[in-house]
Amino acid sequence: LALYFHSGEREEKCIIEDLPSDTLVIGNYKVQRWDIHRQEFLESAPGLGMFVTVTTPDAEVLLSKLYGPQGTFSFTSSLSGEHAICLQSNSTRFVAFAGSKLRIHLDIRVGEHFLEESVVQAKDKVNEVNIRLEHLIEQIHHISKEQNYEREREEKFRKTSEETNSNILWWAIVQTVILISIGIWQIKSLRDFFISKKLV
Amino acid sequence: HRMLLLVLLALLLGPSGCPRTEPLSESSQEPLFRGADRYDFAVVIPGGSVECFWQFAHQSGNFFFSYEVQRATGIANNRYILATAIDPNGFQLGASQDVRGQINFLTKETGFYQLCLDNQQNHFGFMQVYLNFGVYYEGFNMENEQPEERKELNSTLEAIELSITKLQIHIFHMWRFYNFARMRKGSDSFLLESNYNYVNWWSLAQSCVIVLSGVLQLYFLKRLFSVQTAGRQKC
Repeated sequence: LALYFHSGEREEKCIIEDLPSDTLVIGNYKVQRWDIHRQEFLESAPGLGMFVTVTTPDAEVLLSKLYGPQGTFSFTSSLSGEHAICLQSNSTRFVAFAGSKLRIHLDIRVGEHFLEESVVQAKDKVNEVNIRLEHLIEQIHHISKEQNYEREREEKFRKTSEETNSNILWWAIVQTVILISIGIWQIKSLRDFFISKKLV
Repeated sequence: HRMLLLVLLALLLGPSGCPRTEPLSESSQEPLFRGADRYDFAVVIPGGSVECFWQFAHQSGNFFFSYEVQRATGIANNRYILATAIDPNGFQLGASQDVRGQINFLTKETGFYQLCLDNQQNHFGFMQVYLNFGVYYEGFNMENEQPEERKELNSTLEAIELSITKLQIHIFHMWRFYNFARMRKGSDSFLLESNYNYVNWWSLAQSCVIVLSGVLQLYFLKRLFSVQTAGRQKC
């Protein structure tokens, strides 16, 4: 009862999450396979596994494991930036199996944990309030981390913009110098050439 | 008479107690897969294809769907992407074709709402689009159901719980606003990086072209004269 999307049997689907550093991400998924005979998605698909690959902004692999048709994975980002979470099935069927697709149910939580289920399980009001407060504190911590990440990015943007600006000036000077020196070299070379050919 | 009374009572009490319709709960063999009410992430949509996501929502909720194109490669007229939202019955609730936009609507039914991103007007490239979508239910919880019970329970705790719920709703709206800024930051980051690389690579290429053209000009000029002088010597 969350989010799902469709994917081909051997297709790799990726989701990109922009995360601040030191953030815990918990992912939960369930895969269903399309049954051609019954024209519907099977409730469970035993024997079907999913490769879960998580890549950092530096293109390093943070997590690469094979899970079953249903699984939970988690990772903590050490760098801040875009992390790619990729899911690909380990199905060995050939592409000739036309019309087969997978339905992937996905739930990704960034920086905060499940609230509804723990609230339902709370035995009394005090526990419920406790859980809600803890969840709020987690959310606020996450917001604070995101703010730090934004500050980091602002700094990086300013640095990049200033570098681009100074690069434009530098390249303009270099190109002018190259133009002038090529011109001088051309004239000199031509003069020497004419002198050697006794035309001047 | 008693049966009639019972039936009447059942009819009266039934609908008033259930403002939402619950889907088939736990009747199938496997437990239902439950997830969050809102998501934000970016997807890469290859040129000429459509990506769809289905998000579950109960009725009487506010559904929001915002998107922003962060990066576009390949050949296309503009950086627009077509976003559509379709309700569980297949009826289209909204469409938006732009670099950034939103589709918001009230959910009238419980079910999976389909959100599609169409990249058909882009060829040989891809678009990275940041999505932020979900559903929130306004004041749906305790306030309507427990005005009588409030006096019985510990009032301080109830007040704390109410304040916490209100705070959570405020934080949610804050998060939603904040996400717009985050989406923009993402696209700005790509823009700046591409500016930087553009300046460097094109300037380098230009310098090479200047040097090459200077050398070639001289070479061809010299060749012109050497043919002529060879001709003169023959004479």
